[in-house]
Amino acid sequence: MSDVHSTSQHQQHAVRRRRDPRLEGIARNRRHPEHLAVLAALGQGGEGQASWMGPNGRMRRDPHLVGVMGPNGRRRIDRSGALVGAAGPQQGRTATQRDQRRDVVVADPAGVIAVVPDLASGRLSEHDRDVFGLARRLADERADERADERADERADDRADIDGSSLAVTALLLLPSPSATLESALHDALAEAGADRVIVLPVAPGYSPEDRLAACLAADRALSPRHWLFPDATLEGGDLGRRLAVRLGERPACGLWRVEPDDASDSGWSCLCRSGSGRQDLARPLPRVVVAAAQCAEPVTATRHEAREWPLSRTSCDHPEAPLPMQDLGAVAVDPAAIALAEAPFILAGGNGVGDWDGFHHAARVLGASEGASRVAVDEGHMPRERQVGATGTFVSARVYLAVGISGAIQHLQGIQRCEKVIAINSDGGCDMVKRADLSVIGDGDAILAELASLVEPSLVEQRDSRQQLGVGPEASSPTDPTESPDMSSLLSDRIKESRHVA
Amino acid sequence: MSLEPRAPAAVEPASICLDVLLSLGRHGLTQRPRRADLDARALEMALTFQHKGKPGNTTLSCWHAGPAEQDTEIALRAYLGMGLPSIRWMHMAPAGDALAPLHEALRAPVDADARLVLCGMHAEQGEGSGLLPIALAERLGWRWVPGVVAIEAIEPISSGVAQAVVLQALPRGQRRRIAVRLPAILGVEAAAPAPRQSAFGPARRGQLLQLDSGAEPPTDPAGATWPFMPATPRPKRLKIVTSANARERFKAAAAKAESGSGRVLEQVSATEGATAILDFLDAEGVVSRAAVTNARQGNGR
Repeated sequence: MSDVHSTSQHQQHAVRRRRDPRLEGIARNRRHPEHLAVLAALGQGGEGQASWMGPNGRMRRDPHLVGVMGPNGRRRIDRSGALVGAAGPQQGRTATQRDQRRDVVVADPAGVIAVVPDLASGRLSEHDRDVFGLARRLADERADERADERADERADDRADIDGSSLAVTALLLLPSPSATLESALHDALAEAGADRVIVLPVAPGYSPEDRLAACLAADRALSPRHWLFPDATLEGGDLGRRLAVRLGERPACGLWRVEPDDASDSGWSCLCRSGSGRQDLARPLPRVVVAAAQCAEPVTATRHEAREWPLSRTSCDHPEAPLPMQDLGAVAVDPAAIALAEAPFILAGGNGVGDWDGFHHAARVLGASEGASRVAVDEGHMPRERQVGATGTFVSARVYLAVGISGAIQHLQGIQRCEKVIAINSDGGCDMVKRADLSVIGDGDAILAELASLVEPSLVEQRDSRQQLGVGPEASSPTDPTESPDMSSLLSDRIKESRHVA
Repeated sequence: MSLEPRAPAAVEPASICLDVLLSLGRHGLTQRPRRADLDARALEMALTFQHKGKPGNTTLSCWHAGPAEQDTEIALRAYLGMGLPSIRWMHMAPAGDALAPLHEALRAPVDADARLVLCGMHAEQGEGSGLLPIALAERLGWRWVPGVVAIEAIEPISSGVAQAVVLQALPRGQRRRIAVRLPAILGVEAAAPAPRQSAFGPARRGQLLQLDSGAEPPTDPAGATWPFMPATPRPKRLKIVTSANARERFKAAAAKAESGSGRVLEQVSATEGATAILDFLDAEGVVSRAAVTNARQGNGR
């Protein structure tokens, strides 16, 4: 055994190990009393060694030495390494939830790519994140080439990444009284891929001219290499087109794919979908881009700085001239008349609803659009155009309240895009309860009636009588003589607010 | 759609001039020429407004700028079939830019107190980027209002100045009321009322007034260099799990629909259940709890 590690006496055999047939025999014989010691001496495992290089150059592992004892007393081998050394599944989960994103800091940007997110309801939408992803592609993908060029120009071999990369700058147009960056929004922007954030105050309400003026001020201050907007009809799409026209650019509208292209001036070419959706237009990437949804993958692997960049509007702060456009506010819309696919709040009934009058009453009181499952439609309780599901309408409500619907797979497909689902069902084990964010197990009719009576008071009658009388929101007419007029107008404002959350 | 009605305008301007810009459409499946859907909605809106006002108060003129091709007349006659007496058709070279002739046509002063131009949000043929009305408004110095679904009123606000009150379509079926100073260009959205049917007789009787657009308009520089191609289907976005280890990727691929994350209330009374739901709706901002409790207090007095 001792001569295994002894060096060869001959110099030409120094690298070659002398074979010892006896030790090899012991290593093959697992029952030999010296088996483990010999294995360890030969470097083939044993004695707590979990893996070693086998004779044919492949790694050998001892399965008895890897893995951990699982919760049911059996040894589990987890090749991801997440569970190694972990006592139980709890720690494994925290290990997988650890944030693995890389922090990226651009200290000295060579230029700016400006992104104007829509911030519908104050948050970054999916579309916004896609546009940020596109901006990151434009900023990062050719940065190495630019770095090489700069290195060539300066004739020293140190390529300065910072000096060659572009800063993705989020331009937030927030209504003026409280134009501050909230920390939640800051984090969302950092994760979406913004290196810098500029907050510019604009007039509250619908004021496209003021938003355009803010963008122009930013354009003068930063002269961004690209302007990116999400292509939404009223917000980004309109603002981007206005800005392009004002800057004398021809924007790429409905852009959905960007590819590197050395032939074009900007270094990129793009594909834009035409207005009818039947044609694509290939063109070089212009300075102003109005990008469609899913134009690029959102950022997932990195986290960015989102450092606030002070920029103030000087020349165009709220002109005193009469506004060319005046926002007269939201208009109350009858929820029953909103197309089901875009209704924000849906009350849907199925086989478990017995009292359909009570159902309609609850929908009216809650201000919800009505939907139904296929069974309810087949039995004639609801019209066909109100059917939700694979053979009906695919809905995208923010809140979907399902009463007496067990959740067939076709129905669950139809509500896939709903943000929050509430289920009222007598069966606690049904699929709808599994999908729901809040489930109440009980009699649907009784709970709906109770819900309606909680919301119902004079308020709703007031709104209905107002609609029947045809009195506008300007002239408040209290129907209840005991109620003071200021109170009633206050209430009607509140309920209007609650109805018109976009 | 039933909306809160607005008090009718006290005074109407003595004369209103409505212009509608019409482009050519093409059926999505059969490729047959037809009226463009959004422009037809704009024309419908203009015709409805003209019918609603005082007779003889509103003059309506319709414009088309484009080359004379095989299908052009068929498509334009579909607009005439909606009850128009005539359409003014400005001839252009096939590669011409419609902006210049339309600008010339609208720039001419009109003897009217209020002036309003209607068109669809984007064209159905060609690039269809929706840029033309914005560029036109910029050149004319007029206002541009996108996403319009209804004209509610046109009312004078001071001598020589009028404003239009229009409804704008917001996402999720919501509407917003906007007052805009005239002259303005309104972009009509797909949520606007559907256009009336096109009838054969009026389509035959209506006149296509062919106008020469004078000087040859500048050609569109983009058309020659940027190729149009049939739209390729966009790839569906895959659910990409960017994870370092195979275990998470497998878990994500094999995962069933998320379940068990929701709160389940079992064996509760109807009142408790309803209260929980109402709290949830309140937190989501769908039904305002404050308004409800205020109403209860107001009711209990």
